[in-house]
Amino acid sequence: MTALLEVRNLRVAFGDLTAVDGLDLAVDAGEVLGIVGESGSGKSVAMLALLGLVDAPGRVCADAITFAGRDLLHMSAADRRRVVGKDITIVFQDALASLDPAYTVGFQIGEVLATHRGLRGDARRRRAIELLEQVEMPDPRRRVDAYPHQLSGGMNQRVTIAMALAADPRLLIADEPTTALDVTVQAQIMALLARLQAAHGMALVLITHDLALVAQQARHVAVMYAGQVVETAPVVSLFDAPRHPYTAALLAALPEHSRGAHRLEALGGVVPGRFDRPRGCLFAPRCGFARARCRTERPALRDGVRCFFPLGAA
Amino acid sequence: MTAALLQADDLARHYAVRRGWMRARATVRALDGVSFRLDKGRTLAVVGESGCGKSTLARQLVMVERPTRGTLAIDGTDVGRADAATRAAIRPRVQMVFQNPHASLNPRWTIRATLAEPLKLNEPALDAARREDRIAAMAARVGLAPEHLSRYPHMFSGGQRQRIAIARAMMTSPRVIVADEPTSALDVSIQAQVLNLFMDLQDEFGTAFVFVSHNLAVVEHVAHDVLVMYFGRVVESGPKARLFAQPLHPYTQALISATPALRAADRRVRIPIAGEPPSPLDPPAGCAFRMRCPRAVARCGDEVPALRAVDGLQVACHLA
Repeated sequence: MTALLEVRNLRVAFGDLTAVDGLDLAVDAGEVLGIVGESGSGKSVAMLALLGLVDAPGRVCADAITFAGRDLLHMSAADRRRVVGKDITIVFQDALASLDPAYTVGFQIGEVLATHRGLRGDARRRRAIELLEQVEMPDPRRRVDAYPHQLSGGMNQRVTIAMALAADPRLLIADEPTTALDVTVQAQIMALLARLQAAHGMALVLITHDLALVAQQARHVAVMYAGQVVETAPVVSLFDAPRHPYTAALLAALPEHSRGAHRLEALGGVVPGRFDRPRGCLFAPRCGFARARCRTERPALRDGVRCFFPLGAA
Repeated sequence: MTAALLQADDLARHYAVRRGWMRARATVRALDGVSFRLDKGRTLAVVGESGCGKSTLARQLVMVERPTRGTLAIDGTDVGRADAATRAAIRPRVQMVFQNPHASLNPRWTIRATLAEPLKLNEPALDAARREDRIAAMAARVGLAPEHLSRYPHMFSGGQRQRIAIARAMMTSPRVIVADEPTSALDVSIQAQVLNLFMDLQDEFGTAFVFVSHNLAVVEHVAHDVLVMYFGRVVESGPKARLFAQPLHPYTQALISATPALRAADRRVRIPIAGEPPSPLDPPAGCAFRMRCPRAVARCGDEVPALRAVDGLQVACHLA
């Protein structure tokens, strides 16, 4: 079976800053994939590049980007727009910023319905209300005429999810969908996304910095560091037995890992920037296990881990 | 019993807000009757969601505002009613660390100038050489190199900036530091460094912390005592271990169960709570949580539950 979305060797650069450095990714139909990484790891930029949303001077290149057997990379912009926004949709972190303050939420959902479903007039309005019901918006008949500033953060996020679902996508990318929300509302939105994902059988890519959220929601995880995937594994094995030293250090730094201990296991140093990208493994300067080879040669992603000396290997 | 470092009794802060032209002003009870005590070397975590009044509480503690009602005693002095000179004299004892270190440092000041300011204001008698010694010592203490002092904030990462903000707060040797979401803008690996720094400073100087956070995993790590707030009031408070082991208020239970857990074994049975907090302009009668509460009964709509002691905790719920 071929994957729904397959990305090979995606690179995104802004001038001499390499934001995404050889990303390989495969998402199966109906799968939930979590992408975790700290700020600047390239997780959001990689997704924007997939959707063709990286503007000049950013440069995007890849060996292949295929979606449902179609080549997204060499597609014309017009053809790509018929896929992106319909079959692949995205929900961003800041719902208030991704909605237009000058139009009602019903109008904005209606735009998607008009573009991708050809709905007009009453049918469009009825469908917009149905979508708001699907995302469990309280009082959808009244809220369809509300402007974004009249709704709370959680409700606005429900609206952007309704917009993302409007054209029955096969892949939904959720980029930190709950980071700006309170934890009880986060739980509501995550439960909603999980329900919708199962009901529609769509694939969900959940981008987040919250490891616990991924552990709870995803089946597969890719961990990113400095623009590269350093480890990819099923959720259970990644959290029980991380193989990349970065994954292990990240898990160790969580307060819930050191329960009862006074000090947390902090990871020293910072992510390499544009001027100090090491020649060898990008994590080597901060890695407790780095050897001579790690400093001179860059490891490839092999068997789901980008490390010459993965943890737990004999 | 010796006087507490911080003692709040029935502390309240209300704001008058305009609702529009020709409409009556409304009162927002951002903080409505909060009591607690904080001793030397202890950490009190204040937990709650946006709009629950935790930042308003922080503003009263650092004396940016005067409370509308109630008393706030710092080292035994009631600062709510004290004159401006007394408040100014006490202010260096309670310092603040803010959430966003990108916004809380002056971009046009070197780190040296930023760290010198609290000393110039509060210890004007100090000569320049002694001031420089104090700055160098504190910078070293939080892990900054001597050459960092002549640099500007934009040259530092988020974690380093938060260290600078902590150093600035520590310059006046405060007895209490109020930290408002100090790690929520930081990455996990950097958060661990900053939390370690807080714990080390507490061990070394006996500083007490009021730690405002929505991240329960962080709170469980740093706090001695926890205060859970909802809609301007305390719904539950008590020692950390007790509160996390067996929370009694339905809101605390929901909050803990809604927090994603890394290990499947730590995941609690989800207590789904619907809806969002009520509007502060239109407060509900009775318990503010009742519309979202899975266990609400008729009495919850009639009577605001008072805090009472149950099993070693203070709980404001009729059903606990």
